[in-house]
Amino acid sequence: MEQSQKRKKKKVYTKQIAALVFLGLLILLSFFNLFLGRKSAVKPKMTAAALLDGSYMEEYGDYLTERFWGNGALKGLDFSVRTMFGKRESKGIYKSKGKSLLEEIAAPDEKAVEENISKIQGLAGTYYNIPVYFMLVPNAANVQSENLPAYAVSRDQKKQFDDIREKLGAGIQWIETNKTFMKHSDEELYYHTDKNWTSLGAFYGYEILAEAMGLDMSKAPELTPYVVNNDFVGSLCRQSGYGKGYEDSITVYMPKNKKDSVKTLMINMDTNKKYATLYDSTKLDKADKYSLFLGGDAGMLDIKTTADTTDRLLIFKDSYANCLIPFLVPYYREIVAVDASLYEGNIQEIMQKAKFTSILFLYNGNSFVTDTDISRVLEMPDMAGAQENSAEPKEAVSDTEDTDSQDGETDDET
Amino acid sequence: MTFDSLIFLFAFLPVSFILYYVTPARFKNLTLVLVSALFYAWGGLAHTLILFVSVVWNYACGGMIGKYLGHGKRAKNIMMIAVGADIILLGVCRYAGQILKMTGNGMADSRYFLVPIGISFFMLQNIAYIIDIYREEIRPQKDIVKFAVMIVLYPKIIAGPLVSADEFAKQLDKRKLSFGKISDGVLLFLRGLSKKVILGNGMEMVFETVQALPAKQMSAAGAWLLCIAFAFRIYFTFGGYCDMAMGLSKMLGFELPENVNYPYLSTGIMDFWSRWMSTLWKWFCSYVYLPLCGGNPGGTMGFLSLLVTWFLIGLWHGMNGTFIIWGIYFAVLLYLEGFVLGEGLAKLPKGVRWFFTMVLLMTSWVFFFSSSIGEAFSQLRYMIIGGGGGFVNAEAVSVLMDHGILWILAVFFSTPLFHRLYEWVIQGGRRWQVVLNCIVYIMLFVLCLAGIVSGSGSGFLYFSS
Repeated sequence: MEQSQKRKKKKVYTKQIAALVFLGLLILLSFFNLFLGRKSAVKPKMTAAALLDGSYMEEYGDYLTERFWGNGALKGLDFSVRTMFGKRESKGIYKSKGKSLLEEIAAPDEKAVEENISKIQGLAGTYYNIPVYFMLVPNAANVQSENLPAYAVSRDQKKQFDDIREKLGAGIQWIETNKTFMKHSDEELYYHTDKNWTSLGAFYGYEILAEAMGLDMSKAPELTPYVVNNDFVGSLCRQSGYGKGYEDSITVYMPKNKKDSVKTLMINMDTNKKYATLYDSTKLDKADKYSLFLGGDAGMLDIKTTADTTDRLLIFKDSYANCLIPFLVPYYREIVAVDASLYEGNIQEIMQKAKFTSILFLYNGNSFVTDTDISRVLEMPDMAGAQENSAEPKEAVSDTEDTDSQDGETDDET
Repeated sequence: MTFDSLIFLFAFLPVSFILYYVTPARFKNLTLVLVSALFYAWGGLAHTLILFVSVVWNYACGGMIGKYLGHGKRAKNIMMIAVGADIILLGVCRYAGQILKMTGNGMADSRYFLVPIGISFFMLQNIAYIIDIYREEIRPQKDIVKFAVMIVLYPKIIAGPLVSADEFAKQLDKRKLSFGKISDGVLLFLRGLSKKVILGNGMEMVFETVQALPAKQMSAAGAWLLCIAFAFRIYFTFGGYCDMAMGLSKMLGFELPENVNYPYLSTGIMDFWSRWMSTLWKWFCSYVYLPLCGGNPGGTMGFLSLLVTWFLIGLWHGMNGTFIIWGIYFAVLLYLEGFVLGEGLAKLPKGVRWFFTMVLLMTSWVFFFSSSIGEAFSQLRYMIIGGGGGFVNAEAVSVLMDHGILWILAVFFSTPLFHRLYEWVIQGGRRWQVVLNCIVYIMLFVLCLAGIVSGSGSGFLYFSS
């Protein structure tokens, strides 16, 4: 009896100590938060109406959470716990059965897609003598859908592509990619931690493109892949919070024989900087290593080459094209790449840059169905002027073409 | 304000707690009313006004009923007016926004038409107080501050438990404050917070994952998992809340009745309702069911009374056909169990009774989480014949396997096993046991804090009730 009472007392003592420690911690953290915490958090404005309906208090609660001391570390801890509990999706990114992170198939912005398609059709009609090609690349969640958690609710990207193809009509040459990508789906077509495709994926894309555009691949130099980096942690890790579970390799395809190389001069038209290479190796020391290709995204890039041809290509593109464009260099005298999301000019200005012989739209499925900028760039400010340009293309730009490839004034050669 | 918010944990709780303990004994009740008002006002001052109007109204009516008891029908008339006004106020506050929404009125979006949190609970307390005085089971409370504490005490104002006025008045008069009670309360609060934030929010994640599956990916196994995930979610969120309410009350020197007591160990429907929201069922028994059926619960009148009672319980949960069906479903089950199959069921082995009870309970939750009757019946169809995914598909297996740790923890913590085991481990009072206990509770608190800061999980399911 006495022993049982003693045990009970000891148990009470154990609980009291734990309660004291908790209360102490609570008071300590309360004080910490009075003086520490994120100072940048903005305090909500107090108004009589907001006090009456309670919206001020709700906003104040959000403010406290935002400025809470250790906010970032605690969020990380919660994320780890939820991942341990089986969380497989974060901010539209799925953690696959293997080590890959897969961006979910985006829901199309129907209005924007319609608008973009209509403007692309308008472009094809205006510059009717220039063939327009349209290449949509499927995303990893479509090609490697078996890697998604079984309960992931995935959208049908193939159906999205079929709809777009139908709407584009016969005036635009659709380049079919799905079949080839599905055939190679078990290969490393996409980075495990990044939304972009790998150089191998881009290589298959190039093969499809070359066939569709009638490029003679036999004349191109033989290529060999070289691994240039082994610790690439892509943007999907940062976006989702799933962290560094895997490091990708980055490969570049170079001509086997150096003397077969086509020389290039790449001008970033946003900054006016010139580069004698398409690969900015300084980017391999930075977080976004994919920017190795073409130095990353830019509103407009003008790539002049020493290729023995007068063909000029205009590409409207997203980041997928950065990795594919180097494959196209042997086939064009000049390639102008426009990223509509970053480019502030309009189609008339673009068309005045060179006498283009082909126009290519190259996007991954997710970025095209959510793009709201293509239609803006393709908007014709002066249709009459554009028609004139189409009938009698400007020659002015080609004045520079003979000297540019020998240009030694590169600002930032790598 | 909710118990699982930073403002509560790091501002309201320490300040109100210290204030309460430094206040002289005769002003403690006033302090409780003021801090409870502040707690409630965090949801909006307009709603606080409703709360205090109802407190003053019921205090005044209670006093008048007491005064006119034994003077003909006057007391009865006042009682009916008071209860009628309470029901009208409850109805208006509870359903006005919903009705405006249904009629497409733009005012429905106004925050003023949000349901004042906890109104369904504190109005039931008010009604019980009025009826108890009329029945001469209690005497009207003379001190308005004491009456206000009974209704607005912050740990229980939002989601109960419902406490009888008589019982609470006794506690108010003979309140004992001790460090033992404080520490018991603190640890109970922490356990409740952990149930809500760690397990409740975790099961919410599973529930939402399965719920998002389209019909073509839904299998019978998936549909059952959806029900089970919901069952755990509601248990850990509401049960966790009740533990927090009990813990906070203990810290203030009060003992609240146990409202949730391992409901998934029930071996019958009546057993379930004595373990799940037991104070709500008791309330409806005392003030609706028993007065309606008189002395004959088994006859036709008894059945009809049960139907009316559960119709009202359903309506109390929300103005949606699904809640009404949910209520009627339980009325039928309770009648069958109590008056038709009772003896036969009692002869069955306990395990068999438990299994059938769980099947019936999981089925009941379908009406609780479905947003329409059509959706509920589709879900029931999936549970019986499966959706596009047949009986078992990869989705269901994946939900089970990927969230394996969570399922195991949920099963474990929905029984008293772990708590008993833990109590046994730390009972010796040795230094390592003290340290272990501190580490366990601090870890739980840090995990809760992480969940709260991340904003994972929604509020308490019963807040809009």
